[in-house]
Amino acid sequence: MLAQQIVSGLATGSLYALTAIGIVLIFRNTRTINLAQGDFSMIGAFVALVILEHSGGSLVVATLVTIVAVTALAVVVERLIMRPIEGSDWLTLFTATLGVFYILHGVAGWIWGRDTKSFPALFSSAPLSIGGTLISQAHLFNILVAAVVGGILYLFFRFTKPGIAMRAITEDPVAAQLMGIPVRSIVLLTWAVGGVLAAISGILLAPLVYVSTQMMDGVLVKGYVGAVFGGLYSLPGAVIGSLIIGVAENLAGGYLGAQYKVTIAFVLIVLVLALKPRGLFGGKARREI
Amino acid sequence: MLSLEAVEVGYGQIKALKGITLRVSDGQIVALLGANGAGKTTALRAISGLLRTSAGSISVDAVRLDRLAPEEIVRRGVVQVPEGRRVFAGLSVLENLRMGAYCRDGSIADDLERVYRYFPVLGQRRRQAGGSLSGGEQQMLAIGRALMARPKVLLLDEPSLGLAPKLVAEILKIIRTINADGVTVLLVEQNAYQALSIAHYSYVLRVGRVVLEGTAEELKDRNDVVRSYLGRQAAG
Repeated sequence: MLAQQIVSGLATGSLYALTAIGIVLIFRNTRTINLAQGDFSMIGAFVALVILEHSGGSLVVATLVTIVAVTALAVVVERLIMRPIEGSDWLTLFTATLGVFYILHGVAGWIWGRDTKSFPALFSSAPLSIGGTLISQAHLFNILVAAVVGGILYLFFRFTKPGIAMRAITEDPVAAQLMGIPVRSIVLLTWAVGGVLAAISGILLAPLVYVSTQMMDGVLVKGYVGAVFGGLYSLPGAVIGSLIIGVAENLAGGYLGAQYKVTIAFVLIVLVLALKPRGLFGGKARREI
Repeated sequence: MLSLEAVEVGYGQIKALKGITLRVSDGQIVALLGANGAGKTTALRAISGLLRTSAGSISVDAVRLDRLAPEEIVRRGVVQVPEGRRVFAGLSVLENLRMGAYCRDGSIADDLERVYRYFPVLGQRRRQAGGSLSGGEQQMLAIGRALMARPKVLLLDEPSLGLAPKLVAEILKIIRTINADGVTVLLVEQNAYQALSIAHYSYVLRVGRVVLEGTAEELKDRNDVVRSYLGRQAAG
C-alpha cells in the first residue's frame, strides 16, 4: 500500500515536474513567473482532443500537431506580449502573464465551451505488477516520458551551443550579449522549449484530469511550488520538489483524506519559503544543471 | 581602425559622454585613461552596443557600429572584456570559451589551442567551473573567452582591477603579446602608469570629454598634467 502510494505519487509528481521545469527555464532567463505555463498545456489538451477526433485517433499525429501548436502559442506570447515589456520589473512581467492566463482561459472557453470533456485513455486500466508493487500502465508511461524529456534537456544544456547559451544568459545576460550571444533569440527559444514541455504535459494529464479550461489550475500551483523547491533556478531542484509534492499529496490523500491533497502543496510551499527561501539546494540562488 | 567621432551618450538628462573623438589604429594599443566617472566604461559600452549614442558615430573600418545590436558588433570583430571579468561562474572553463565563439561557425579547436597557449592554466582547468578560479585566472578566462571570437579590436575594461601587482604585470605582458599577434587593443585603465607602459597612444577623459591625448612619451613628459587629471596615485 505504501509503496503503491509512493509510486503513483512519483508518477503525478513527474507530470508536475514538466510544468515546474517550464516555469524555471522561463524565470531564470527573463525574471518572468509565467502563470500561463499551465494554460499552454490546457490549450494543448484541447488541440490534442480535436486532432484525435479528426485524425481517426492517431495519437502520434495528435502529439506532433499539439507540440507545434503550443510551441507556436508560446512564441506568439513572447513576441507580442512579453518582448515589448522586456526588462520591466518582475511585477509588471508577472501581471502580464496573469493577463495571458485569463485570456487563454477565456478563449478556450469561447472556442470549446465550459464543459469538461473526457480524453481517451492512452492505456488499458489493467495495472502491471513490478516487484510486487502494482503500477498502472499510464503512470509508468508518464514517468518514462518525463524521464526521457529530462534526459534530453540534460543533454541539450550540457552539449549544445544554444543550451549552454541559455545557461550563460541565466548567469549574466550582459556578458552574454558582449560575447555575441543573440540574447533575444535565445529567450524566444526558451519560451519555445517551455511550449514543448507544456504540450507534452497537457497530453499526459488530459486522460487523468479530463479536459477543461481549469484543468491545469491546480497543476500550475503545484508545478510552481516544485519550482520554488529549486529556488526557481535549479532544474534538478524543481524536479525533486515536484516529486516530493506528488508523493506528499498522494500520501496525504491516501492516509488523511482526499481534501488534504491540495492543502499539502501549500503547506510545503510555506515550509520551503520559511526554512529555505532560496530553495532546497542552496545558499546561492544560482544554476546547477 | 576603430574610430569614435563626436560621440555623445546620455543617461536621461545627464550626458556621460559630451562629444568624444578618438581613433584606434590597426595594430596599436590605445589607452583610455581617466578617474572614476570620467566616462571610460560608458565609451566601451557604447562601442559594444549596450548603450545607444545620442549623437556622433562609431565605426570600424568605415562600417558604422552605432546602430547595430551587440551580437552584430561582435561579428564585425569588436569584442569587449567587461569590467569585473564577468565570467559565467556556473559554466566550465571550456563552456565559457565556447560561448566566446558563439557567433562563429565551424571548428574552434585551433582557437582553443591558441587560448591555452596564452593561458596554460585554462587548459589545465578546462573542466572546472569558471567561478572556482582565482581572480587572476578569471581575468585570463575573460580575455581568452573574448579571443575565441577572433576579434580585430579587443576592448579591455580595467583588466588590472583587484589583482595583485605580480598578476597585473603578467596580464599586461599577455595583452602585449596578443597585440603583437595582430589584435588591436583599446585598454581602459584607472591605473594610468601601468597602461602608459604598454600603450602606443593614449587619451585622457575627464567628465565626458577628451582633455589630453598623445603618445606615452608625450604624456609621461607631462606627468604634472596627467597627475592633475588622474590623481597622484594613478600617475605613480
